Amino acid sequence: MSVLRVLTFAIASALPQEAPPDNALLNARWQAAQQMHVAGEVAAARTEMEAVLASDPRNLDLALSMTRWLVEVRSDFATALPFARRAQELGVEKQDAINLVGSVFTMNGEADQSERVFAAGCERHPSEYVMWFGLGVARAQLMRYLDAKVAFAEALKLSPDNGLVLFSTGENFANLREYAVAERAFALAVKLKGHDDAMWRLGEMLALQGKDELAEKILTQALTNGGKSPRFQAALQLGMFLVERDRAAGALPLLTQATEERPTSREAWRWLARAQRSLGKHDTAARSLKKYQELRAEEDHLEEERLLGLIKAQLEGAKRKEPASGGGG
Amino acid sequence: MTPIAALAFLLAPQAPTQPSPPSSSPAPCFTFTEEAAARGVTWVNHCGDPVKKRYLLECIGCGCALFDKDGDGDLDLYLVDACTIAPPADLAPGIDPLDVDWRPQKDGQCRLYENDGTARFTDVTEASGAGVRAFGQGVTAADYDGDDDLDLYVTCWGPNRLLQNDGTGAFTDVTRPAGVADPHWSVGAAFFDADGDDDLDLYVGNYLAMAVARDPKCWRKVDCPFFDTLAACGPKGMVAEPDSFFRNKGDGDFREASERAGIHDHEARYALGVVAFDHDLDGDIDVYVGNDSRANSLWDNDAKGRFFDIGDLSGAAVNRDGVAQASMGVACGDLDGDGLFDLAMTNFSHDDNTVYKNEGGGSFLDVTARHPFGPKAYLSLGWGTEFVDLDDDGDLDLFVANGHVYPEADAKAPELAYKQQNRVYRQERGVLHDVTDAAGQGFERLASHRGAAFGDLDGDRDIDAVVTAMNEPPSVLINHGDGSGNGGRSLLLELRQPTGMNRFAIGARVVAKVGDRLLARCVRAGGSFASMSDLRLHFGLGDATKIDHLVVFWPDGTKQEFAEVAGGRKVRLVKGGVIETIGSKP
Repeated sequence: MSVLRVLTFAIASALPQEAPPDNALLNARWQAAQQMHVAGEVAAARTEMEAVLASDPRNLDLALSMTRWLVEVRSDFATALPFARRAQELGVEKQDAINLVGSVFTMNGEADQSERVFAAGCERHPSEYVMWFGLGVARAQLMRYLDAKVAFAEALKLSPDNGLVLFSTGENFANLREYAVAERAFALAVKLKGHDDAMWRLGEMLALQGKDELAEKILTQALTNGGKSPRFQAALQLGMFLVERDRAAGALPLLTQATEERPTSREAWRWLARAQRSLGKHDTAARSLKKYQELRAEEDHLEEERLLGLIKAQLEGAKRKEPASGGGG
Repeated sequence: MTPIAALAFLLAPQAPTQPSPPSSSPAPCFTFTEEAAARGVTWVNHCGDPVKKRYLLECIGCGCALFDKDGDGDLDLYLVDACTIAPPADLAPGIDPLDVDWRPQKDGQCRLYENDGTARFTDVTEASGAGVRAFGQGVTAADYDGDDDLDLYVTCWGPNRLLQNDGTGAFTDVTRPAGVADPHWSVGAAFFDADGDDDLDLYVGNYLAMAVARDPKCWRKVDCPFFDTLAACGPKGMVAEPDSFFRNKGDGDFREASERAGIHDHEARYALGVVAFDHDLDGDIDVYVGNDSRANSLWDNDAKGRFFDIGDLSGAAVNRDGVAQASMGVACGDLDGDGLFDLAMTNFSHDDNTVYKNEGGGSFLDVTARHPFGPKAYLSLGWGTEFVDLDDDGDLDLFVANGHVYPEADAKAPELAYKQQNRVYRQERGVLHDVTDAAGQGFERLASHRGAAFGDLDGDRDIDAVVTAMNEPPSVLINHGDGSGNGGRSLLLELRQPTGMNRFAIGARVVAKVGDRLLARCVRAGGSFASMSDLRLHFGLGDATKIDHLVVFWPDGTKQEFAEVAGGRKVRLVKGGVIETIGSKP
């Protein structure tokens, strides 16, 4: 799901412009914090910014300025989170501020918070498409696709020529397995240049519905459309499309290209193995499959590590709480 | 209206959520009614605490079997039951109950119900000896000892149980002498002849090492994130247990042979659904295992009972996008009428039921997108499943039992719920369409459904179903057909072998030519989720009154052919003999 990429795109085009703090001393420290961040001293910068904010904790503009700077200038959504949270606590009302704060929550995986922020924003600014769009993205991130559908539909009513909203709408319908509607949304997103991924996603939707001729045409076009990532996706999708239709010979160069462009893509290796096997190239198929299995094992291992990390964190959290709660676990 | 405005209209909440139906008017749908209580099936399942599922063990649920326990020609019902778990009652003071292993309690008991032939059931558990008290999960039935009756194998958390039938429906626990007390947490299982020696071997799918005392402390309570709430932990992060393979020595005793059979050649993978079938029609029986959030396994048999996992190579290990799915249940049948057996998997909520087309030569293709399952299927969480011809038109439909793993799902969002509707997909011209809403009162029930077994309960030759439910009585779903009268013309075929150890011909394959269509069926144990359907083969004939040509491929590779087999009856074919009508109900 590319909602995060979509959101980054949206934030860049709708950032608020709050003023820096009035107080000269605070402003100086704030400037110093910015320099620290630019110098790569992110933790120190955050500490300094928190200190500045702590000296004027009710200053909504200050919290928003920090959030905005971190997002807009530094693309550092993680560090922006506590400042966005503070802004949220202080009560954001303007639509730009709501969009900023909600987006920071979304980008940090706190979609439940984001959903609350944007839901309130929709009540306050029901005629602003960006509120509904943000709400749709948050709900999609929560996998509440039916609710997201309602929000995206509202956004589209308010901004019918918005390619980005159309692209996100397509993603949401694809998630709901409503490929025909997703196809229409992606087609319009392509026309409106809504997103780099719109064309290959359109081709994929066509392929999934068995509209082979058009699917092949669109995916072929997508091979030369947009940046590196969408071109890789187009090669992979077209390769898959051809393998599924017993045209492995045509798929082979595409999937080989995909593995060369992105050697860590296990799906590229898996489909390459399938194409090679279809062509009777059993030795090379075995090698490709082995590569796929190694990548999968690596990813599984990373997932296990992540879970073990979570367990460890939970256990440590529990340990810290034990004296107070008097119980374990 | 501009294109944009048109799209906005389409995207509005009132827009239809399913792709358009076929342009021709759909055929009438079958209808089912839920009649468990009226037909005497009232046992309430005991799978863990009914409200708070602290451990994954309490979430998985139980299966059921439809089999003829006493050879009287009708299908009896076996309901697997689990129990609640609790810390030991004699726990020493000061010991945290979460630091010790919890034990199964005695509040649950597997039940055996006897069918009077009209789908009226009587609970005969106490007299039958089949009332296993354990943390039961699944069941499969087969004549493992070659004495011409169906025995039961019950999978459990803890040692599994083998119940030997004396032919009258009285059972004796022979687990230990037979050597099949697999100690792991087992769910799916299947009997089949792995090595061509005529006796039935046993594959057992094992899930994970569920041990309260061994699991991380923080996981001993409801503590893992499920969206924005907390629920029971697992399976990821827990220790998967290896599957087991038991080779029949030829006398009904078994030898643990997992290593020699090759099924420990790859790491353990949280097995749930198991089905044994001949995927490449090379004459030996292979095994497909649905693994929870890990790549599924397709164990290709070398005809000598040595297996090689070709899941990744075949394309049936992960879905089209390369995602290893939850794989609770497995359906197996010739969906597209090409003679090869296809697969369908049931999966977690926010995931598809995946349909794999068997392309032959050990190759499968994910063709899920060809079937307009839609958002309701995507948001449901599936368990028991099977390809069954519910409208007797000859092609296979798909049944899916649904229910969420976590009771906490209710708090998540309106589109998720712990108790869900079962769904049914009717095949029309190769495409499965969701006809649940038109399929009658039987599909209205909301429950956290689990196992599902299929067969003709009331002797009218159409396919009925039993579906288990978490901490509730099961559903007994009676099929009333589609009003076309097709059901009356269908054929139920029972295959038997007069001698040897595989009397019920598990592994046999039958191909029927009806008009210009080929209907392929196979006799198999296993499949669905933790459940066992009738071994008899069902051929819906649609408007036809007979099978034009019938070919039976017996497990030993011999073949018998028949011309002009009249439908509208229940028949038995004993190997080498002629097809005989059994039962008299029209």
